[in-house]
Amino acid sequence: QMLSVFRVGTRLGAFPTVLPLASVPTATQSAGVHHHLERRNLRRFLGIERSNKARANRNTHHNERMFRGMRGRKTVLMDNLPDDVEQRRLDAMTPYQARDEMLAKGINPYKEVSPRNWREHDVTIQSLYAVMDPYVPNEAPTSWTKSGLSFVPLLKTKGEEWKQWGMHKFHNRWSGTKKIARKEGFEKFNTKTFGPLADEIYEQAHNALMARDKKKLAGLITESAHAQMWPDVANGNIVWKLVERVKKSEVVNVRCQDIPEKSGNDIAQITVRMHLKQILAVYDRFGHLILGSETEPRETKEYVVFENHIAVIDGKWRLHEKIYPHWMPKKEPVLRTMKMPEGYTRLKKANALPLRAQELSEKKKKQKNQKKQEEE
Amino acid sequence: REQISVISIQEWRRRSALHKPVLQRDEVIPPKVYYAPEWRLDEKANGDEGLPDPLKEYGMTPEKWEHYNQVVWPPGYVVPETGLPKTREVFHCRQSIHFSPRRAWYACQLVWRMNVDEALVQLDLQQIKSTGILAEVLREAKDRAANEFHIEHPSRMHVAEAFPIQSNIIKGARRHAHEAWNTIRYRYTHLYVRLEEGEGPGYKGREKPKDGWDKMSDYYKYLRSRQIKYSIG
Repeated sequence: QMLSVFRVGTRLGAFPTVLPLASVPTATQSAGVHHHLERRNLRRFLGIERSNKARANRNTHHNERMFRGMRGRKTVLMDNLPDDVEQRRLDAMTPYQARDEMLAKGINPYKEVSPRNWREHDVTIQSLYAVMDPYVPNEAPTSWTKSGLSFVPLLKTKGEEWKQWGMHKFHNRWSGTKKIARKEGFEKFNTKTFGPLADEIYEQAHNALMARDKKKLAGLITESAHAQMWPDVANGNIVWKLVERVKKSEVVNVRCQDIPEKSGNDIAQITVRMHLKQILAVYDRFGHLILGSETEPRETKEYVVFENHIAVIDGKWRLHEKIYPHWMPKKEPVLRTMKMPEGYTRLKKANALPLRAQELSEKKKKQKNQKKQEEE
Repeated sequence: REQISVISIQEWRRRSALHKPVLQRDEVIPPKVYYAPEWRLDEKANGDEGLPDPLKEYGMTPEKWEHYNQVVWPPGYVVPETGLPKTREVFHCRQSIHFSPRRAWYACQLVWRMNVDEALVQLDLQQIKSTGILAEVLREAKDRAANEFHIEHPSRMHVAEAFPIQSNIIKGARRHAHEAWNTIRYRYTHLYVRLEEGEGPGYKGREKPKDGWDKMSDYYKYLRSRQIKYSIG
């Protein structure tokens, strides 16, 4: 904010220049009265600044400045007084900036770092953070007549699709049900009976989430799902209701993998296609509705992944993830309006970033050219 | 004698029952409709090791203040006192400022119950350290409201609460004449601020500080009230 230039009187000669307000809090002696002889300096004119700052305004007719230094030396200086301004500045720095700071001060940044504590832990892998195979066959594959492609590219795309579909079917058996059936307790595992089980887990998981029952939720959803689902309920409220199962839930994808390889620590993931009608209303922390509605149901076709640590006898099928293939219509987001920060400019056109390999090759070319020129 | 002893025992029993905390006749504990994460009673809130000491951490602490931000109100909650939906509020605190709490109090009183933008303007106009610090804290709170709490118009909020609380004192020494030593107290403050959506109550319940126009009218009043003593008419 800028103070506007003001006229004090026509008798004055030069007008004081525009003065910006101090953004950093300053502790100054303020007299609050203008001095007409200080026309050159706006701060002194206003009485914000004093010409003789060291002079104590006690009207004692003595030169108090003479003993000011000696009096100051009476105070015991504290060298390790915590400076909160400095601390906040250091906290806001990145590690590289902190390193530069330390080097400027003459401190070895690596000397005071504590040595690594050697701790040995038994690491067990019971759940994965992602979906093993996120492929889902396209519900609307490229049509022969309406794709808009010429014959050869159309054949190519169609060929790719068939190939993927074939591989998918093969792996469902080879890397899926075959591996699961080998495990104790899963000899009679059948994907046709899995649909209703998946439905039950899905419903129970959502009800437990609404009720914020952490214990129950742990047995119904995996850790990675928890990390995605719990914030909705920690920072707000959810009202969920299953209205109708439009179609029977069917298994689309079966995968099983042991991690690490050939260890027998099998984790199985099954993708189930759910065609449901559900009600979802998401509220924010203060009880205001931000997404969905409590009265209008919505028809959804979802690909839900369930995971089980089948290497362990107590392994349970738990809700893990949802697959959103590229051909699926996008989900409705929470509409949040906000003021864009100052200096924010939106790119009108997205510039393609060059590949690192390209950059390096261009650099080499330049160097070669330079060398040639030097030789010449 | 036995009768007397029985009576005295009964009397003492009656008297000791008075020490027990009892719900006052008109006291109504409101039902817990909100959800908040569990407050750990076996751990110190600031993360230090050891059991929390009940004699310390009394009153408002930065951890307790921050905990208010974790509260989740039920869908469509209507506050019974006002009959309106719950207003969005942001609790913010700046910790361990090297400043005296008594001096910081004056800045907080200036800004209390004012609209945030108006408060920032007024604080920036004062060339005092406490107002500068409080302005920074209010700006931080506004940013939190926009980014963390997704409040659409942080400028439409008012400063519902602003107060300083001393956090710790570091003692230094100063020598005076004739080897007389005294302690200097370097005081550190936690500055607490609560922003609430909506128009504030303004100067309701307290006196509004005078601006130039009020002072002018006062001056005119004084001028017009002057009388020439012992005059005719």
